[in-house]
Amino acid sequence: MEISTLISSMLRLGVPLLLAALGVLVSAKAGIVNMGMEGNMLFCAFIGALVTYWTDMPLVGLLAAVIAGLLYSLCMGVFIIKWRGNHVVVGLGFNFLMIGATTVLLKAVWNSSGNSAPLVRLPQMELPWLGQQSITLVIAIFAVFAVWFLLNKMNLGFRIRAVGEHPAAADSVGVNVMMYRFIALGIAGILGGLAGAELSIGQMGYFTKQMTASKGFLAYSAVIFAGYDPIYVVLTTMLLGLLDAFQMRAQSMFNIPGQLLLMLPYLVTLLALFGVGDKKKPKAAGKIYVRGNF
Amino acid sequence: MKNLLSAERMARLKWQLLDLVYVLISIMLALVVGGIFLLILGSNPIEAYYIMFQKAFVSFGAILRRMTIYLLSGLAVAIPVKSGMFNMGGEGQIAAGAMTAAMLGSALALPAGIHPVVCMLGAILVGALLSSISALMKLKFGSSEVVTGIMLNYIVMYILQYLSMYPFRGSPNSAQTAEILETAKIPRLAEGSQASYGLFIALGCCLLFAFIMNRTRFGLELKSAGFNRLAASYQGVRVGVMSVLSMAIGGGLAAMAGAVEVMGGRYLYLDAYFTNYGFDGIAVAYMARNNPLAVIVTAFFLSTLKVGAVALDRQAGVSVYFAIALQGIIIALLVSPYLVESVFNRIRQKRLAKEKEPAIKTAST
Amino acid sequence: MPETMISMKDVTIRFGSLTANDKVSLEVREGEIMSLLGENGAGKSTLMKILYGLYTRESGEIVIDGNVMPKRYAPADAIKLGVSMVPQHFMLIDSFTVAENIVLGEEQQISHLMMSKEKACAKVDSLCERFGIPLSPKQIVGELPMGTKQKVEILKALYRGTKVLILDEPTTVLTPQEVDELFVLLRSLQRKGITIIIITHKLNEVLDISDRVTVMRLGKNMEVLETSHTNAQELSQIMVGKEVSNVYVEQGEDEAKQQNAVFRLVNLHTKREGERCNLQGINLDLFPGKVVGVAGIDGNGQTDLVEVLTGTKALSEGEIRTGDQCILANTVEEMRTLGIGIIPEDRTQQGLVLDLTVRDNILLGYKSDTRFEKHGIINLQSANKYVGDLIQKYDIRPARGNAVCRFISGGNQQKVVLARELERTGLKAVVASQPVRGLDVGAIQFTHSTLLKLRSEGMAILLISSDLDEIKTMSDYIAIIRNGRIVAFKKASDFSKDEIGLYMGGAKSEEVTA
Repeated sequence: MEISTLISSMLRLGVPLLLAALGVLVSAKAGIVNMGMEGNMLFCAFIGALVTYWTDMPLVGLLAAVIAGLLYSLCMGVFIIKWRGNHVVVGLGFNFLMIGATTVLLKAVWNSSGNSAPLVRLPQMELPWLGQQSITLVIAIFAVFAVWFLLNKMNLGFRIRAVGEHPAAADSVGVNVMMYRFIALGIAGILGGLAGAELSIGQMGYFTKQMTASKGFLAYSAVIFAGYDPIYVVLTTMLLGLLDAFQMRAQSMFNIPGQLLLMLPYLVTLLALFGVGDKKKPKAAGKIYVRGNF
Repeated sequence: MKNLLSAERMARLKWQLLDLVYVLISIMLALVVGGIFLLILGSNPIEAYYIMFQKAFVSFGAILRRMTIYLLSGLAVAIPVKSGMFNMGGEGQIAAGAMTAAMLGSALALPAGIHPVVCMLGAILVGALLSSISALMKLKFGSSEVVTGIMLNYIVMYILQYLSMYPFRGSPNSAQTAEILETAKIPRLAEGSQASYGLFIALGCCLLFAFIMNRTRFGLELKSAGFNRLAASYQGVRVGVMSVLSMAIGGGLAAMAGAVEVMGGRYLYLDAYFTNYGFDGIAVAYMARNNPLAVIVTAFFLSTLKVGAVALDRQAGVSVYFAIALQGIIIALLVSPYLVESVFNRIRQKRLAKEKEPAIKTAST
Repeated sequence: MPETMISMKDVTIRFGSLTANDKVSLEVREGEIMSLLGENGAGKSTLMKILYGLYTRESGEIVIDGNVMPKRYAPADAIKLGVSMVPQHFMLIDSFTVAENIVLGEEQQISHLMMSKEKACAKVDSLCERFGIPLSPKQIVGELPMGTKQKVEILKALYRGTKVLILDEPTTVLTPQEVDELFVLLRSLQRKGITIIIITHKLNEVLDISDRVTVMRLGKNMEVLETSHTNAQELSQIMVGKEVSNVYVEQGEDEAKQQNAVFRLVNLHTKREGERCNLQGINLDLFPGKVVGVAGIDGNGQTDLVEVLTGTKALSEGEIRTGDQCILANTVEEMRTLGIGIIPEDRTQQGLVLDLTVRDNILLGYKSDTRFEKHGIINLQSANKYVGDLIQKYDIRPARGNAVCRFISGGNQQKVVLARELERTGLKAVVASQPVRGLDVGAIQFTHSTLLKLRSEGMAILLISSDLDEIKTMSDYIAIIRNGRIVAFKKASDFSKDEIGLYMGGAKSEEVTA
């Protein structure tokens, strides 16, 4: 197993995870448990594929995917923030909605139950030691620093964090809790859009039924594992990507049955949660905030 | 004192009806939204719904069979929620229960009365064990039982896939276990019907748990632990034990769902036969506001929906996934209690203004 | 001429069937210290929350510093006009620093988007200097003591250039000495031109600090007086509306403590958990028919003490002795068998499961009681009858066992707790922690007279309260708790007024030997 091909796979598998995880992280910092990232990625993978199919211009598809992600997350936000729904169940509901919707639309547009028609892919780069990567890699690196900068240096990020730790305190000084939570979700939606687009038009070159394959959930555990820190999230998502890359090769190389390797990332996450717990979670994450409860 | 009893019964009935009304409203809303979706796709929603429900009722046995599973997987989510835990691991627990029943059903040789019971117990044990892992991790480490539940789902699915492909493979053509022995089968309701007596087992569980929640100390302690851990502990309720126990019960119930489906219908394990029931259970439970009796209604509704969606596919060309999409809308709508509650609040305020209540002073100055 | 800074006219607001403010008017002059006085439930906090924009009034006019306020506005609007509120429960983010908490909402910025931590610290430093408040901007707020946290809240207001400072029950969490410090600070702020409104129910503080006082009762405002022209009796009469014969203990009628203690707490220690003060050697005796009042500022070990007696916190050292028994492992069942009833400090969080009914809450406390339970199944008939009797005896309203506790009033909630705890068979001692906090006059009287009735029936009572008046009027003996130890224990009549405060604050200390 060549190291460089391993690293190359690791990056390809890890980049969508990283983007999704950053999205989940920003949501969490604002106090939202974003279980709907899965649906986010799937929906945007589809939209990206669809628009690319129509225009033959993957960059336009990327843009469309990002906008779709924004709309998706804001929509989900209405249910969670405005209508005070349970974060987890709403997120799951939206996931189901997207699984159903994209599969139906897959049939409707391409008359297929499996793959869409082949699509033009995002521009690729040939890198030394890193193999072929789409430009999303660059976007992802930029995103990591952007999120770090947002949370630590920017006003907006400061308020987002305040809202996630103690929404009542923020409200009492006139910080609009709802608005900042929506903004955080919007950012998450954009990041999820990038992740989804990478899957369909960055890597595969077509849209497949349920192509996100639970990456959204893995992203969530990557965030917990990373202690809600944007720099550590790089490590945890790359680790998961590495595991995935390893698993694909180990199947043929070591004659271990595929299933046992496929479950590695989940097993590792489970074991990691032993003893790590969730101590760094922003205090108000997952709790429903009702204004005026002073 | 008789007054107190009947007034209390009336009030309790009122609360349960309120839940039901709420559930029905959400279902209506979801159907409307789904109809809009259908319109966009170019189908006639009224026609589509008509076919869906008409065809569904033709194959009533299929509805009952699905309902059996939904009753149990719905309870599997509803009971833990009552004590503040969220059982996300239903998928894995159902499959594990199914596999256990399949293996015990084909490997052991026991007389007809005992065999199904043994299979059931084995399945329950396995399911309870799985969910307890999540519960204990939450207790000891504070890890979210949602995440550990999801992780376990995948781990279990893959392990079972492997087991049914290699060591316990029962057929050369597909990854499934061997068929269970006759002695392990649960008889069908009628000749040629798809549903089995497992339905009554499931219904019995609903009634049993409704009773437990309302009329036993265990149920009281469970609810108190779910509503207010601190106050409950002050009254000697062992809150941690309650959490784990409720999750264990949830896991056991989910596993039962899988076991009943194997013993009453499939007679073997094939992983494709057992997917999605866990997530459906979440929908059933939340639709029913986690009330064991209301679960009967929502389980019936959802299985009608799902069975009808299959018919819709054949007739109107709208795929099964539409039903999944509809379900997603339902869940998302359901957990927006704010909307429906604000309507009810307005009704309640009008009623309060009529009633002459002594001035209720709240503590907030 | 003093300008009118705040003018509220005929403000009304209703919550359901409760009229919290009924055509209330308030007028505050620039640069004065105005007290808003009233019992719990009088509507003072509500009125101020309306002023601050947190609640929306139904009718009435509000003018802030000459600006007519629209029907609905938000705290941000009030802040812009110079009104700030220091809430009773601090709105501080524990994991952020002092500076971060202060600038949140009006951050110091480098450019349009970025915030500057250095500028924030510098600004905080300059504010501290200007107003004479010693604070370190980089400290993490979660690590600060209560009095300092309050200063952070005040500084938050000063940072925003506040002209009107509203303080909601500011002294509940302070020692008598810290209260003096606060008042000195307030006077200095007044000299710098800031108008101050204090919401309080403490008469002596009103007389101490304010220029004028507006008295409220049951949602209406009663009178506005110049503090210098009135006295405690007059104020109390306006506040309460009638001559209140205070429930109190006859002092000096007893003999020395030759009676056998029914419970002896010997050298109790608990493990320290987080920031909560643990017990570091409590020695205390409880006597039948006597009230032992434990005075102390919140956070000096009272919570641990109550939890030990409830059975929810384990003793790391020490024992509880009763008769010839010696308890080391204090579980809830054990404590209950011993005959200890607990009225916890926070009835909504610790005392009741709000989402359950009155009957269920009472039933919770009767585990394994064969009257109501056989083999785990609840006998609804006998349970309902029992609860019905209790509802009548304690006058719980609404008079239905299936009323959900969340929707009944604070006073009635407390009655449910009392009913559950005090009717137990084999009850020997009652631990009452802040039993009348947040209750209206009627409920306070009921609670106190219930406790004293038990006292006359020979029950031992341990009263834990941060309200000195309550301690003084209700106790036979007073123990003072500080830093997890009892630092003084005497007959109530043997304490002088200042002495208690001094012990509470640590200026005086005498280790108590049992």
